[in-house]
Amino acid sequence: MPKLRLLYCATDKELFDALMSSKQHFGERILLSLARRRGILYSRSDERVDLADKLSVMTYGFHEIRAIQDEFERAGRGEKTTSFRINMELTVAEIKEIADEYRDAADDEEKVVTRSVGRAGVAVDLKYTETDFSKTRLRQRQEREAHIEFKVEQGHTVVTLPATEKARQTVAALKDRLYAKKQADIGVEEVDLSSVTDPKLRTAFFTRLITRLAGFSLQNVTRVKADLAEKPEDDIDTEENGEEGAEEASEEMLGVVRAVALNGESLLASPLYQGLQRRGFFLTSITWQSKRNSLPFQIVEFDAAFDEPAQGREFKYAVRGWATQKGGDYTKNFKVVPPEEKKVLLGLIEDTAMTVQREIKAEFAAQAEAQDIGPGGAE
Amino acid sequence: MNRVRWFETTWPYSMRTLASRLKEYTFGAESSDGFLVERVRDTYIEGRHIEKVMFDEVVHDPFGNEITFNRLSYRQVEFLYSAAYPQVELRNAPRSLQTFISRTSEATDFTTAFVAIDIDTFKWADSIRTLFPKNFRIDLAQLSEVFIEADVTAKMVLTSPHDIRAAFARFANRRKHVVDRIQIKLEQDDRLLSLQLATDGTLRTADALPKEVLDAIRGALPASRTQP
Repeated sequence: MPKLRLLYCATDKELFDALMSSKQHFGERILLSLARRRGILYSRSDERVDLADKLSVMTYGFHEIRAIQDEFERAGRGEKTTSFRINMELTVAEIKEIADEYRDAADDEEKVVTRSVGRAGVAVDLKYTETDFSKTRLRQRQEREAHIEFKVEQGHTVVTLPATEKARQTVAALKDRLYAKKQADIGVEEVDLSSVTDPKLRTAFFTRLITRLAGFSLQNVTRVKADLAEKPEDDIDTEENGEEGAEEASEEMLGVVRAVALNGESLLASPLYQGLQRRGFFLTSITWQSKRNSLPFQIVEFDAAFDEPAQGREFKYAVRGWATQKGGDYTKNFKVVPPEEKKVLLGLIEDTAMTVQREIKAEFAAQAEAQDIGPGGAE
Repeated sequence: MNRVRWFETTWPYSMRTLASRLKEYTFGAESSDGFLVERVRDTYIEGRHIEKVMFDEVVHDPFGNEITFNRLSYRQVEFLYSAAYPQVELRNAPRSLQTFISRTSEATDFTTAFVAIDIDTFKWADSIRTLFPKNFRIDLAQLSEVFIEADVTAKMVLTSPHDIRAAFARFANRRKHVVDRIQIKLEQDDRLLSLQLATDGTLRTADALPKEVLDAIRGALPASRTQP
């Protein structure tokens, strides 16, 4: 029996809530243009709330409601990418096979399309419905897309995916199928600094990443987030320290900054950041601008962060946009980077991040080894 | 106009080590920016940071044709890094210092911060007077946030062919104000020099100063009111 399509009716209250829920999507200008499309001219000096109120009591057909929902479903510029490597060269046929298996097992809410990308790549395009009950009713069900790509390179396969929960779940399912098929360890390698506990090395991961992008030179760091390295808690012998010890511990909890976010120019050279670094803070997220060293010398804005900052797990990155030159000066606003160029730039971050994390892990291992054999270390 | 500005910083290395690290970022034919270190001593490094700026200029001729020219220019910052205060001296720096600051920061493993200084310009002028007392005078003072009455402030410039200090003291006495910059005149080797000293540690002169004068003015710079 065919599954019934979900039907819903949008009341004026739901429309009002949807229009008011996001100023970014429905600012005064957009609301005015919605009205204009119906042949109604409102004043530009009308308040946003009044415009939304007037618009919400009009009659809407299915397509008009969809147009409003589409506004919310458009992927923002800030969508981040994440990736990992499978340390073996998979064949296009193998990838297609597991993707097809996944598609056959997927439920009706999900639409999976696989296609070849170039000679050594496969893309799995996913269309799914995301449900979020914390949002206003018209926004609770949203159609989303995820583009997962497998690229077979020399000796390994790079998998890139959007840094969303659904894409991660899908890729995990694909990975499981691959494990089952290969009946062996497929050697997954991802950027994960959870084993590196030295705050200096955690910061070095980001500083090396931003300075080592091939063909680019660092220009500016505009946003950073930093976390305080938590010292492993000492076991307090309560019997010995008694109440005094407990009091001391609770006093320590007062007025403690654990994470900070800075916004500005040349942040890594700012006294505030230097002070934080000296106090044991390490970088967990960074937005930086780098200039291409060849014509046409665009300044590209990149973004890299850990989704789990304290643990250094779930690395994600993005190309936010670029500024081009006009008569020797750069445009003030960063424009959207064409998709093909964006792909190349994302690949560059992936490659650099992977190389740098290997270095960082090796340095940390060497540090630990030196401590072990050094004075006071384990015998 | 010749402009020199001083900053404060804490170097993580000795001047010699810093110089060798800067040399890793030497400006070459292929680089888009880099340093040219000219003099290295135990107490200072002198050099330049150069940024190559290349762009295409499109010109439309009267017949509707488009002609593209490759344009090339260089942005330079002359710098003097010292072990002692003021640790950073920049001469005729361009408006945007981002590339230069980023590269210095990179060369020091992101462990330095350039801190803008905030100094008492009258104190600076007093120290300079002891070194060049001949025909010394302060002939201009630019003030801002001068209290007139509640919620009313003024920006003003005090000028005189003579010294303005006495008049300034009478005017500013118990009146809230901020000194932005002052102008001093002094005689050195039978030359009358005019110097503008700003609170942010900037020195402006019409022409480049003789080395010994610049050295003396740098040496006279009072300690910053902000701590790095």
